[in-house]
Amino acid sequence: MFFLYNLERRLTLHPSYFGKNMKDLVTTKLSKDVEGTCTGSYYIISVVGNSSISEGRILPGSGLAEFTVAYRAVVWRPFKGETIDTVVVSVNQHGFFAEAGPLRIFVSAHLIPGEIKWDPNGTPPSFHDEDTTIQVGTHVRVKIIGTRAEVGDLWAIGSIKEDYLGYFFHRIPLWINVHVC
Amino acid sequence: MLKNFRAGDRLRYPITISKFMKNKGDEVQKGEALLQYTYKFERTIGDPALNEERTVEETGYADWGCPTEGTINKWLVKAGDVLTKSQLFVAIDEPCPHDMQYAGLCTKCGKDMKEITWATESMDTDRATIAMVHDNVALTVSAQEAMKAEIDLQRRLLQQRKLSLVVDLDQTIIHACIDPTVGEWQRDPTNPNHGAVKDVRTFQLDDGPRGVTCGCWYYIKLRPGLVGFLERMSEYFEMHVYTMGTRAYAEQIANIVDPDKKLFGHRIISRDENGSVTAKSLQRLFPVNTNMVIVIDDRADVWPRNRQNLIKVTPYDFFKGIGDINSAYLPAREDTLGAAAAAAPPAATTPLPIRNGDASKSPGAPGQANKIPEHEKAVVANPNGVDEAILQLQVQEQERALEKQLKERPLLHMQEELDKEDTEPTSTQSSEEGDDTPPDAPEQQNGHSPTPHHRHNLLRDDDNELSCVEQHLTATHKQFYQQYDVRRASRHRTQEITSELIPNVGAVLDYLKGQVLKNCVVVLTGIVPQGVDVMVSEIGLQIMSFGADLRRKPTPRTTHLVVSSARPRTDKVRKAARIPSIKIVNQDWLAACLAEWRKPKITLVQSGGQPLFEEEDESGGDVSDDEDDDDDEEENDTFGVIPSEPASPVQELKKMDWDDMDDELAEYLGSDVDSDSDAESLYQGTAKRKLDDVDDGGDSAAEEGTGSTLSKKQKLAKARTTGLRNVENVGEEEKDGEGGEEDGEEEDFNDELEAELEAAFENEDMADADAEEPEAEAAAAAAGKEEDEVESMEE
Repeated sequence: MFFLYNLERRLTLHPSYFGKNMKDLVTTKLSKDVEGTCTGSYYIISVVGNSSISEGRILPGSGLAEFTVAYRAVVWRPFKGETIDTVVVSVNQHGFFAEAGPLRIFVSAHLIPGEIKWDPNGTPPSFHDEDTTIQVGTHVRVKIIGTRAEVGDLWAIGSIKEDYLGYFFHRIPLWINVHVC
Repeated sequence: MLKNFRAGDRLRYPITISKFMKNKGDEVQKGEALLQYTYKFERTIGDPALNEERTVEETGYADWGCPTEGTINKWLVKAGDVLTKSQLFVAIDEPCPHDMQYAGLCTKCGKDMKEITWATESMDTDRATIAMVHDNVALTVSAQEAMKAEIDLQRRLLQQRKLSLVVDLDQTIIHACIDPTVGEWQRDPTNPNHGAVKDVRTFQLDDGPRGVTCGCWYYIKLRPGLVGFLERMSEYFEMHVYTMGTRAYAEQIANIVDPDKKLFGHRIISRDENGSVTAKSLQRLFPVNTNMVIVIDDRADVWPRNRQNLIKVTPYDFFKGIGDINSAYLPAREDTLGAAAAAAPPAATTPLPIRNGDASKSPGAPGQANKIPEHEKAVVANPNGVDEAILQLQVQEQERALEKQLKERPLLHMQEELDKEDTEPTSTQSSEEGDDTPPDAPEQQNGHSPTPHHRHNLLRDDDNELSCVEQHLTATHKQFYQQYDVRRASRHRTQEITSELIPNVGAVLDYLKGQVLKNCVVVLTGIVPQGVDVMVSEIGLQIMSFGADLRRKPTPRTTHLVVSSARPRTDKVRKAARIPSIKIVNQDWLAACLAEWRKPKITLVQSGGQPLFEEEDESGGDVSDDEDDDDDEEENDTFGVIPSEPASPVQELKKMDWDDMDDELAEYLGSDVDSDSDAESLYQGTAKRKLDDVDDGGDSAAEEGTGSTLSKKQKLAKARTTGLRNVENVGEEEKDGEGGEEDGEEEDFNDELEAELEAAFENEDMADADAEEPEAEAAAAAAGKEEDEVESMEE
């Protein structure tokens, strides 16, 4: 699930950057440092604005200036029980791996409906029944049934063994086209 | 899923069960108190200052926390029981066995397996420890799951009459390099190498090495016949890629080799998922049994656990001097059997490393020597810390090697050398060919030089290893399914496929390989570096796996002495030359045996001081030339009078170390005999021979006479040796000597007995060997002659 989240971060700037465009530099550095990282429970997707940059304080001994930046960011946190759309990246006899942005989710054969069978002889090998085939590149709707986080990484287990989960036709909603035009 | 739990080792035994808090059928949660127990402990009380300390025994009360969640199935202890050590305590029905986990999460229930509480006795992650999927190490399964998956796999393969084939990439089916010279040659149709490199494939790696080598082009040469080979093999095998390159590299290669993903599918495993940074293991993919798996790889030492399943192929060395592009990730190579031509360096020696090119071995990276032991250590014990450190080193080393290749462009240099060599001697070419051109060079000159400038081409596209491998693979496949069918037929027609029904392909391979050098007793010299035990060396292990009996020293039972053509004059060669039944061959013979799985025909067994192995069609013309090089002075055929007939008995004897023999003789005759006269007579003999040589010119009769006098001397020496040994083993000699002569023909079958009585049997053995080896006719004739004389003398 996506959130707008108010966060704070301390940044340091080298003395050679001291000057009139310091604020820009700090903003750029903030984006570079935090966007795309995983804090352990959520991913910071994008910085959407910084409400305040404190005055810089010279750190004794090093000469670096430290700024405290309060900013707002779009973060994404996967929850247990959440249903998300994913793309299959790897298939093996035990199940398949699907990716939702930065998160890699494993769906075990145990949590794939019984009628979708593992077919090792296909090229490439896949899970399939009469009308669906799950292979690398397939779009799959998955329900997250468990997550685990360490600093810098998140893992999740998914299931497609419920109604409305699994293979789906990926259609771009009409309104997006309208907006683009 | 029912699971029994133990009381745990952390309790203060002995304990007495006092009360159950949960009974059979109750639902329990993790950490919930299941029962109460009491234990006794001693406590010191009193004031130590007043010396009034005393211990009292007290009773402690404690709860036992539930290690898992589920339903209690049965208590395995009763109230009032006294436990003195940990034992089975309770059986709990668990809703999920957690037998497949992904990065510490159970894939069935989604619970975190890394959670530890005070009640945790064993980690839940221990329930699934086997990583068996190709592209992910975080996904692990339990032993039962692995077994199930494997049985499914085997059943399927048996149905399709296939086997699994694990294929290495670098130098096995492809050869890669990043030398930009290749690209230039590719674009330049006038270059002599253009023909060879025009079908070289290229790619760039996005996440390849950083620094200078970032974004460089990889040049990939497919081994000749690869596409057809893989296509045909895919009918008999389910194929996997197993490489020590990175994932991205492996996938790029797979894209080139198998663009439709029909052959390998996604069955690719690279160093990123290997688990070990120095060794490959079939157990990584087939954790339960490897009965149906064959490996083809150019390195045997990286498969320490799976030698049985390995078909070692000759390394594909298309870009000369480059070696394995990912070799930094592997222990240093020690099994190279350089071709004879490479060992005798060409006239204009290239300054660049030829064998296995390891750019890292040159002065640029002096650390190599120190790192090898670390690698080897890591193969034995694989603590993660060490692995990480090695990985770091390897990555650095790899980057350095690549950088070096980019900068130094070894191929370009070698071609330049070749060109230089080319332009200089064109006028004197005939004379050059006459003396010491290596056998390789004429081939280069005549073979592939389509350009009008007569520039030599460095790269040649003449490898046919894959056709050999194909034969081996199909033969193995056939043999395996023959065995399987036999076993299947003897069984009742049940669908059940049990493990004893499936033959072990490793054993099949062992059998096929074992036929190649069966009944051969092989001694190596100059091939294994000094200080390395030949019995555990890479080459040694291979020779033994091909059914040969490998020995350290030549004895009369020895059938082949393999000599490195770089060091042809070793003590062992001298010894072996005295025993005519030994065929002296060079490493090309061995390489051919190991690659083709049959003994190549030997026409020229030995000649003068230079052991030779040649194909049938080659003439022995250059034999005398070879002798000229560096034979001892007294044996120098200054006037070219000794015919180059290799089987001449004189030639046989030319190898004798006369001074050595004199010493031996003197030693034998002892101090009480007048040694001076003996020595003198010998020297006279030598002098006489020299005279004969000079005076008689090409007179063969005179030479034969010389030969016989010489053989008398030799006979003397031999008689001495035998005599001494007879003294040592006098009992055995008397007892078994007669029998040995009677059933001499069957001696090869009585190998064990043979080994014991080796010394005693010296003479009989030689006679037998003569009879058995018709190819070595000439040598044998000479030997037989000598033998008769020796025997008659003994009698």
